[in-house]
Amino acid sequence: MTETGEKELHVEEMILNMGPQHPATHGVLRVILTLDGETIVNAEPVVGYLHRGKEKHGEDLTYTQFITFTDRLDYVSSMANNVGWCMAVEKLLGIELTERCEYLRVIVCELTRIASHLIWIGCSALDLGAATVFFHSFREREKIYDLFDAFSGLRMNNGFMRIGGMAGDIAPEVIRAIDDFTAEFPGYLDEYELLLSNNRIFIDRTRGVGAISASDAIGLGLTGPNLRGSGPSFDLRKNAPYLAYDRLDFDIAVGTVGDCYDRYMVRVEEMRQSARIIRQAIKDLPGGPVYPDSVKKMILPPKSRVYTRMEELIHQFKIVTDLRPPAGEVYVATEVPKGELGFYIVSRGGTSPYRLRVRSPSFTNLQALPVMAKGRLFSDMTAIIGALDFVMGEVDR
Amino acid sequence: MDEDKVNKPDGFLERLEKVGGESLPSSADGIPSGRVQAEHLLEMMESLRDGPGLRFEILIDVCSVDEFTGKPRFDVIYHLRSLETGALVRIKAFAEGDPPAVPSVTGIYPTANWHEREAYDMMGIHFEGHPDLKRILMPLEYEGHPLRKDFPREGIEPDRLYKRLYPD
Repeated sequence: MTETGEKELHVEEMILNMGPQHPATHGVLRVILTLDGETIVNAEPVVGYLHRGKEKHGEDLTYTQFITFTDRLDYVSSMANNVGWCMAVEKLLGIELTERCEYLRVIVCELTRIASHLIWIGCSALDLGAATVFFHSFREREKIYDLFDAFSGLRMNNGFMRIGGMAGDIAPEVIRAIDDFTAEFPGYLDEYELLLSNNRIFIDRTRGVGAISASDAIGLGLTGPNLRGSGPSFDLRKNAPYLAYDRLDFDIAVGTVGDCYDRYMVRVEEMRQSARIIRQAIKDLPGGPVYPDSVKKMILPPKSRVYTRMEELIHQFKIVTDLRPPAGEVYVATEVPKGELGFYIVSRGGTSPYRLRVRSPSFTNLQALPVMAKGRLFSDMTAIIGALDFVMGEVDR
Repeated sequence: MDEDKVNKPDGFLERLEKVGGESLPSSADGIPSGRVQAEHLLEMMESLRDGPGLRFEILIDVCSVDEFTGKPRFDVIYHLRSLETGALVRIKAFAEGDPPAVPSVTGIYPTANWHEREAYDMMGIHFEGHPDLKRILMPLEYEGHPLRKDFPREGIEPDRLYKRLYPD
């Protein structure tokens, strides 16, 4: 009993499990929250529910077989992962891509970036209650699926890249369709922004929430929009250019405070810049083959020749069974929608990598969750998880 | 991208020599690599983060390689990136002893926390000084280290494992 005779309120912290099955955790993420009332004292993410042992599998598969595995890492931006893996193996083999392949890969990567950010904006807005945005953004994503279907035959998990080139060329009609899509896309972005960017409720739920300083972000190894939301203007497409990015003109969006609203604006602006990149790349798209002559021995030749000519028959056999890069190691990183995706391959000269390491951006970005969530209210968790934009397939591999 | 700046980041070789490390031959990607002894690892990491020379503010990755027939068997590899130029460097350190151990760099680069937990989980390398070294991808009570070369790709029957741990 206190002096005034009132009973003292007994408070204790509660441990709440935001379990692996949860509609707002964007996959099988488990967060063990220590709550003091509604305030988060600690938020510990527990991962591993989607661990499929990709790195272990990679040691038994050939380099081309692993392309389908890279699709399913960050399964919302499949072809960006393909490009990253193919670039790593191409570095190991010392292959120079043709210019057409470089531009086509840029177009595909940027389309994938738009597709990934559309899922992000739809799902994170849906988690905050703005369901309309979800339906609109998935309508646009269906259009991108149609484009993917047109050239690769699949809507998702396409695996369209090959070592040294792509599985096929992209027909001019499809290029025109991509151009039409990117012409009307900024209009759709304006629609989403109309619903969210100046929306009082959205701003209240994201402004100041999950703020992280630039030095904390760098120390925690954040990359991609999560890092740029806090200030540092670091984008691998500009600071360590690859493919055709050094020949294209685009801007990098950065935030100031590093809260959820800043990360939201960075990604929206990135979508606009992606549309801009695609239009430039289409305008500058050179003709020519999609893979250089030097890699005839690494890409499966057309079946019509395999069945009729001896040389292609031998190539087909050797490619499927016997593609051996020289011994050595490479680390190649690309800027995928989530951040920096790196592949570290140790090769001992065999048909499979000796050690295969996937440096996944979502795994590293998710570490920042406790730092962002500490001291916030419990309902801010969905905003923070949404703005972090991770994909469990990439976190767990 | 300035070739020289990328391939010879300012002061990397000097900092490497200062801690008695050795520079390794360049790999296919041209990233400068150096090997240090485990005792000098923290000193090297601090000098990479703070300078003198080009500062490498981001620790991109910590991974481990199991050289099954090599002695020492486990190699820990760090990739660091500089925000200023985008340059990468690679530091390697053997994890020696039983269990194989290496100092933890979480004090210098907080991002190493989960990467080191994963290296412990998958390879069994202990990181001395890690605030919370426990399994991250496998269940906490799992036994064995999946990425080691002597661990079967098909995995170990969970029934056998859990029957032993929970006989009822």
